[in-house]
Amino acid sequence: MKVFPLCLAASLGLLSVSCLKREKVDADGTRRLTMRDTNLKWNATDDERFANAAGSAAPMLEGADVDSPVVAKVVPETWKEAPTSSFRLIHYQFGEGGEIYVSVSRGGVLENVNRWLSQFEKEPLKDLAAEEAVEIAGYRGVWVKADGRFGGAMGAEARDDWALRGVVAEKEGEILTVKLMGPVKDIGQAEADLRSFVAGLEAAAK
Amino acid sequence: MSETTPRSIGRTLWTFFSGYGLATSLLVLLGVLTWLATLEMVDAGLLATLNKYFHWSEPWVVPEINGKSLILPLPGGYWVCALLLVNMVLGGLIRARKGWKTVGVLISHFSIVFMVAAGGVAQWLEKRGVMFLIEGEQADYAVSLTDPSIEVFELKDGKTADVVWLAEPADLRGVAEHDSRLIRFSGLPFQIRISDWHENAVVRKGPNGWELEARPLDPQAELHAQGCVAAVVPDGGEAGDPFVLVVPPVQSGFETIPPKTFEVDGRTFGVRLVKETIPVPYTVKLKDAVAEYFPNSGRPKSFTSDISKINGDSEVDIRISMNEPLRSGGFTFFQRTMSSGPPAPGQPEFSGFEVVSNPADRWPEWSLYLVTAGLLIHFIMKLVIHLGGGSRTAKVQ
Repeated sequence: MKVFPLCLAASLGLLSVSCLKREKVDADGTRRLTMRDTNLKWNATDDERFANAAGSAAPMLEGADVDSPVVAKVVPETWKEAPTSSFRLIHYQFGEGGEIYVSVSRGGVLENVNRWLSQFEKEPLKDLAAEEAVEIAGYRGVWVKADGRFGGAMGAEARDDWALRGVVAEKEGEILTVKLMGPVKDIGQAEADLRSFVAGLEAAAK
Repeated sequence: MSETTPRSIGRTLWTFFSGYGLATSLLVLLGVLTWLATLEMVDAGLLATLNKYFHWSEPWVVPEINGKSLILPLPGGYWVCALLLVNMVLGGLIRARKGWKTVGVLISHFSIVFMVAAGGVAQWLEKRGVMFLIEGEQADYAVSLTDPSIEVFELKDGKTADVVWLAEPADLRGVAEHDSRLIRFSGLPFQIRISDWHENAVVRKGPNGWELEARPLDPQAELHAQGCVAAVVPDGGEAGDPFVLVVPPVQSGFETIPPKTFEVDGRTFGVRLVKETIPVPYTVKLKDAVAEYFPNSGRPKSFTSDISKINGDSEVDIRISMNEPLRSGGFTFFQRTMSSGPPAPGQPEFSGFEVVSNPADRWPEWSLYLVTAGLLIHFIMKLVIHLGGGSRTAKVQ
């Protein structure tokens, strides 16, 4: 069959083309300005450029003005600093997919606790009288615990055998949350670390 | 009788490319590729696997199952489909018998050609991104979840010029950690050399300044933040000092890092690396996001977004829900996500749309209607012929 040498030659040709590296490209694409390009910060230093991306407690979204109301004085050695955003003012990761972050929010303590519980398909609480109380830098609130299936939230994927430990606290109408989520199997040590972390949170200098 | 006549190469090729043998082999191969891709997807992630098995830039695939490489390379899915398209056109349309008895089969063959072509068109022309809006917010762009691009701005008279130059995802495709690639932007007096490319990286401040730190690849490619080292090479000049470009960590899809500013020939430019910006030809404002959940759970029942589509002076109110996308101006807005769980009172909700621009968006749907019509025609004709006594069995008897 004459067709097989032809197919072999074509295959070798395709293979060799696929191995080629492109050292130069001509980029001729353009687009118009969009709302994403408003308020571009020109002449920014590298410190200014990367402050948002380096995982520090620096300002978050470009153009946003969100500072963490607390600073961490105790950070467990096993936690690794992670990128921050306006939703994660202080952010760490640990173990296999575990993370801890500090956020500010609105609403009431009970509503936020029930929102967290609903992410684990738990029954909402009617009141907080029986919950363990906690105070962080003038914010008063409660500890929240839930184990089981995490249904996913804010882009985070759903997980089985997942655990939540955290604090929802309120001061003058502002809600402060400290949320730890990770595998159930690691939660014993993680909760101990979290309690040290929460005890070490102090009000940020104004 | 064993008389043989030599066949020309053209005839041999025609017979091969239009034959049932090739069609069967390709369909089996597609089945095997799909099966292997499904297995590999568990470890490698959806996007990486789709790119590896079905992207046009991958003519060959070496499957890996449970971390072990199968030594036998297989042809890439895109090229198998391309060959199937050729085979279906030659064999299923041109070579096939034509007449009123085969009209249903011909329609079905055409619709399959149409469907395969839709996949090819989508791969070349589709843009897919997301738009997240909090109630009251508006946007005229979407952001790709996966594809990076380099954007170059010019500062003119203290304002950002209207045109943004782009090194698009296709221009950055295939660059690896140890590669160096020179990008020439049409009409600009410089090129940008990129090197030390990482598919997932963060910036850290080291003793020698800001540097990239590679991060492990995640099966969820949407979480990757690409980074590289870049240098500006003016036309006829020497390369400038290297600097870091990095996509900010993925949180909302709206985050950007201020551009690196530089001057060439007295003109001021800025360059940044971002997940691709996809401009939309109108502005979308989220007026109300309504999420219904099953009682006492965070399990969604329905998501509905009331938006305004603003185009110049015209403002049209539209409702987008889970199975009712907005199609307008070459873009389709699908309801993708919404605030997680029942919101706290007074807390604004956000809504996320999947924004797709694909000329072949509805071709698969139309081809399904066509193939259904073709097969219905064929089967009904067969039934009528059979009931009318026109079957082969009746003739033999």
